[in-house]
Amino acid sequence: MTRQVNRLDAGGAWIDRDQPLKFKFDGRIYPGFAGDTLASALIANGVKLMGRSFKYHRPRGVLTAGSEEPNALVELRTGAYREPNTRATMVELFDGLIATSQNRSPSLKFDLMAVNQLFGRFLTAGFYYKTFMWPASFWESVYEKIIRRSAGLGRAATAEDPDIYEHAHAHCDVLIVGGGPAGLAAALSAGKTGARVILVEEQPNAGGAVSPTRDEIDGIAAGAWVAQAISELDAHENVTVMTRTTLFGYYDHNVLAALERVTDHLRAAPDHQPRQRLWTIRAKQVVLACGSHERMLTFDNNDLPGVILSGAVRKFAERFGAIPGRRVAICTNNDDAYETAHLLKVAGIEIVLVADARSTLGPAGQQALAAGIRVETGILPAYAHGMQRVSGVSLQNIDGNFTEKVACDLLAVSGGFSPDVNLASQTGAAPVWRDDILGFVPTKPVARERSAGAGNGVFDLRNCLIEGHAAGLEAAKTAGAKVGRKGSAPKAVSREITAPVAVWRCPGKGKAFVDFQNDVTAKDIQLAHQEGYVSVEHVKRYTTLGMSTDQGKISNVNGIALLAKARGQDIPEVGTTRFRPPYSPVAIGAFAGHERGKNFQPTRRTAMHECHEKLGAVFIEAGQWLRPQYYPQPGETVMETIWREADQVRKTAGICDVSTLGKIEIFGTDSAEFLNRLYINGWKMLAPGKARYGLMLREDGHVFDDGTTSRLADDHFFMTTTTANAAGVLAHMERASQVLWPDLDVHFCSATEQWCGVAVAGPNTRKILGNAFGYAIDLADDALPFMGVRTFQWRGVTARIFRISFSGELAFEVNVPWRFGAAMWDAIWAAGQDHELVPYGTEALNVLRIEKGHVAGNELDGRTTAADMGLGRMMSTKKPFVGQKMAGRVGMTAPDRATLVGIKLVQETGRLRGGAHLVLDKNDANAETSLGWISSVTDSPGLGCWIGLGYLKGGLPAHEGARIHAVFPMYDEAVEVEICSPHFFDPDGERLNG
Amino acid sequence: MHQIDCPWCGVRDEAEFQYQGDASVTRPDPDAGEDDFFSYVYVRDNPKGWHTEWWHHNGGCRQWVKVVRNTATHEIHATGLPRDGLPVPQARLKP
Amino acid sequence: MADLQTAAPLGEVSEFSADGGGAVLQVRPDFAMVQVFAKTGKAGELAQKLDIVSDPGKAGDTSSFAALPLSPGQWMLIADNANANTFGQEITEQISGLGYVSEQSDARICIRVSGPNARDLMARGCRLDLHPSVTAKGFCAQTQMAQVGVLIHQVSDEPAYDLYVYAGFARSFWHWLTETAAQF
Repeated sequence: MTRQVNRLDAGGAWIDRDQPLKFKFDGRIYPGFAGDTLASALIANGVKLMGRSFKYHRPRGVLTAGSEEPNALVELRTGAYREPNTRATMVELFDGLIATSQNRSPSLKFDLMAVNQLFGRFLTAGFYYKTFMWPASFWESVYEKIIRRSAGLGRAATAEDPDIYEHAHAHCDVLIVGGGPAGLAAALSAGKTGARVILVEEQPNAGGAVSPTRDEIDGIAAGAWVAQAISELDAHENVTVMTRTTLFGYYDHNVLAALERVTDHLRAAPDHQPRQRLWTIRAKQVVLACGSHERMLTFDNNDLPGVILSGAVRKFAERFGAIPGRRVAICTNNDDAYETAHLLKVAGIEIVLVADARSTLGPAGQQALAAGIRVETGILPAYAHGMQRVSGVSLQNIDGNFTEKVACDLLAVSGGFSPDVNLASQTGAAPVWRDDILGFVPTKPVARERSAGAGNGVFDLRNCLIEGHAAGLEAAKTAGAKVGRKGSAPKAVSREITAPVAVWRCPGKGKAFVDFQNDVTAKDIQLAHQEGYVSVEHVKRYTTLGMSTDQGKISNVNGIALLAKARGQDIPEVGTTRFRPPYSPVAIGAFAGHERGKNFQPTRRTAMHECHEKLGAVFIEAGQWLRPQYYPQPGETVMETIWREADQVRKTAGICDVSTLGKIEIFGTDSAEFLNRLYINGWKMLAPGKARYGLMLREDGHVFDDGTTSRLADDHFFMTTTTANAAGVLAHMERASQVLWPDLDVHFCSATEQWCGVAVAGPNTRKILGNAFGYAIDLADDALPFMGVRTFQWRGVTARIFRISFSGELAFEVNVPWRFGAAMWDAIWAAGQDHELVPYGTEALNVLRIEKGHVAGNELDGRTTAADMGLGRMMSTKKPFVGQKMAGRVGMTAPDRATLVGIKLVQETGRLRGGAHLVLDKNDANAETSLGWISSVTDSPGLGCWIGLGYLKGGLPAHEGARIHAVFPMYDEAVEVEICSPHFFDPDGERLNG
Repeated sequence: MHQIDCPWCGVRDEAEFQYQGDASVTRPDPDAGEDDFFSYVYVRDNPKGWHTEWWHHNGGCRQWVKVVRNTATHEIHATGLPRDGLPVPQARLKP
Repeated sequence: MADLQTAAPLGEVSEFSADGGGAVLQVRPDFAMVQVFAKTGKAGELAQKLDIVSDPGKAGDTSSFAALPLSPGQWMLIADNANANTFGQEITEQISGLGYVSEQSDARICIRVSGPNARDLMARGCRLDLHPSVTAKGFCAQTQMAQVGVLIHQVSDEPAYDLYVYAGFARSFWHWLTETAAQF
């Protein structure tokens, strides 16, 4: 295997040198080790160029070692598994991994769009707002194409995502976010109280920013201590440690969301294992130990590959034994970079110098000097030299005077540390600025949380451990755990820290980047301010500072500081933007979980589903239900099928599954009174054994729902609702009984699935049902008159039969318990074979009800009144009911309201369409002249022409017999129609008796 | 995500509930005039701060739950059954 | 007794075992279930009559049925290996004058979730905290899993759970449950 040029011979706490791997980047095969990230393996192989920037397509290398990475974004995997914008620093290496750089064409090294750099002065802040403004016609044809081509940040896969994602729920007393020293100390102290603790760590290994070899905790190397802490936590049954898990959202009432990357680190997910799992965690108390993000110094050309944050260089060396250079210059404004210097020196890397922006040396600097490292004070970087990788750096003093140029192949920079206040800020607690550490820290919590460690502005290891320990105890105690012996915090030696110095812009006139991913420079922020964008929230949106996938983790403070400078104010006066979820990008698939495609929502099947399948039914979704739409025969068109079904119901008999109607069983001595108050018509006089059509209004007086309700006994009713409104009607009734009239003795529950039902309609119905039920029930007119209801025993099964009709034919609906549904269908089907029984679906049902002028969902559109539907006289004046007063308002009873009419197509050609407007003159059709609309249409086999129902101003009294026009501007159609009674077919209802 | 203390089921996720509007309005007597019903159906305060609301626990026990909630902070002060009179904190946030 | 062919919402399916042995799903046949409502003001008397408890979340067990409180004055009574017709009649007679009975034996299916990972499997869909410090044998709750309403009854400390799901959703719910259980 090829030598990994930048891999140290030893070291690398996270890698397993006994497990060599191969991976491919931009078509070339490289070696790496198990435990590597894609970024560390590329570094080990001497690859510096990993991506191109968003706007200018500038060459970019890795900047960080974590999820805040703005530069090294790659497309991972191939085909349907392809995922854009994955951060190379977060991608764990597996054998055979394939990654591709993005935002470049044709290749990473030679990118045509990099010409944007030359026009850089045109691509400044607010570029999009300014440039692509006019002419408007250019928007779709020209500008959009240019923007899409140049601004694309990776390509999403076009095939359906083959991975499994799932959701999961967790509860705990104490949730600890972050497995660094503070988080571990918190988990240990909280875990010992017996509280239920969850610790989430974004990386595959705990430890955070602690140095495994150079730091010591409790007298042993910090790396060993971390391993010991984890095994101690694992031994606690009440503690769960979740690695590879990013806490990305902190929501109301201490509900938090985390993404667990279950199998992303594997070449392929094992069978049935999800790729990622989205956790919803309800925590009584939270400890935020999120650490900090190192900042870049803002100097010219600071985005050159090979310019890397100092702490990241250290992490690559310690975790992976990979160092992105052999000759290192270090620029810093704080003590931390000296740790990097020491580490690299021990590893045998040449340290050119440490340029410290501060004017005097503190203890850390003195130690470096003593170790033989060249340290210069009061020195800043001026310019990074090199084409596609750094070859040297020019230095300057704080007044901007050039001092020297040094050659290097790695420039490690530290611009200070920003405590990671993202999650605390999500709760609404505004961070406050601390001048001594040059960072925002969380302020008084508004949620049940507290911060600890570097995330709270505490950078000294000893104090991190003390604070973490205390936070864990306090959280456990507040959550209700019994805290006995408090124990002591893990011990570490304190280090004297010299305060950092504020350097927000190293003197220079070139491109000094603040937000690397969105190519926002120091100049852009100045320009935005000049143009009047003063508020930090406005500057963010105008310049896109902090709006990319890294959400400003590195750039925010630098940007705010530059804005403050431009405004001539202090940073606290400018304040910070509020962070919002997600903390880092989450795949849409993880949010969807199981709920995609056919599983987007659950489906409901009736007891007779398989009977319909056997008869070749085509199903349609009605809410969540699957209902037979029609039952095609070979060679038929859809319309032929529907006509045949409808025609045969009228001529012989048809059977239809009506199980999906909402069914509510109502009990209680006040049931009739209750129904009286809900329905517009009266119920007290309804005798047991009788059914009645009922109409409900909403409180605002508009029609809510309709259905047939039967009285089975004095204190027992059986209500049906429309399929679509079943849940709504139940909720409406619950409000009425619980909130409005709790004193009534009325009780009810859904019986929709207890009972399944069929409607059998047509002249042959009696013969068929008589035979099917073995004459267990007398179907004669005098035994079971229209609107009669009977309960009968059919071979030991309790069945209910209702003589009601939606089709206008002689019809019965029969209900049996679910388990006998298929048997009932089969029995009726068998009995119907001699009587030309046909199964009919929702389409034929629609034809039949339109022919009868029966209203359905299309007519109950939430704007109609009972009177609009021609049912005004049903409204009782002898009793109050819901919606009564509001239905009586002037506007609800105005004579010019659009009311229900029948519509017949009178011309030979053309058709009716639902949604068409009714106008007197097709040549004068507009919103003002529209008199109404068509709600339902059908090409009626019974009448031999197109008919429809609709609402027309003035209704039948004004227009009966009139010929007007139905216009459908979308298709530029206009047809002549006649207005008639909606009762097209058998207006006197003679067929109801067979 | 809100955690709502259902008086029957205990603390449950907001996802199990359906928001059902202002619980501070009372249905007028059936004999009341149109104006009273108009107010009952349409006229609402829009407070920034404490608000008494209905949350229907349709994903649980199906009770209509009365909730005193802060519309600005989402804090929940009290929950109860329809018959319960719930105290509403006086302090309202500045509009 | 009916001689008619019966059909279950899940058809012939009766069991699912995850390959790893962590979760077992069993479709429980032959239970009778009624929803009982106390007449307004009679909840206490009715509970006494049936010897059942009214505390939310606590299923009472009599010798012949389990009683799961659903809301104030409402219970679901579930009897194993019982005849749906006769169980409802018996209860109706017992609480005559105190309450009402709605037959629900066909409205729901019952799936028993057990196995070493039963609680982990539940956590994939159930928003409730089923930790042993919170729930034990006899716990019951109405909630939702995978967008479907579920009546949960914890039947052992092991733990094992009976999930009562509306018949119409049976296939859809089973599909989600088995796909999720397969990982264990």
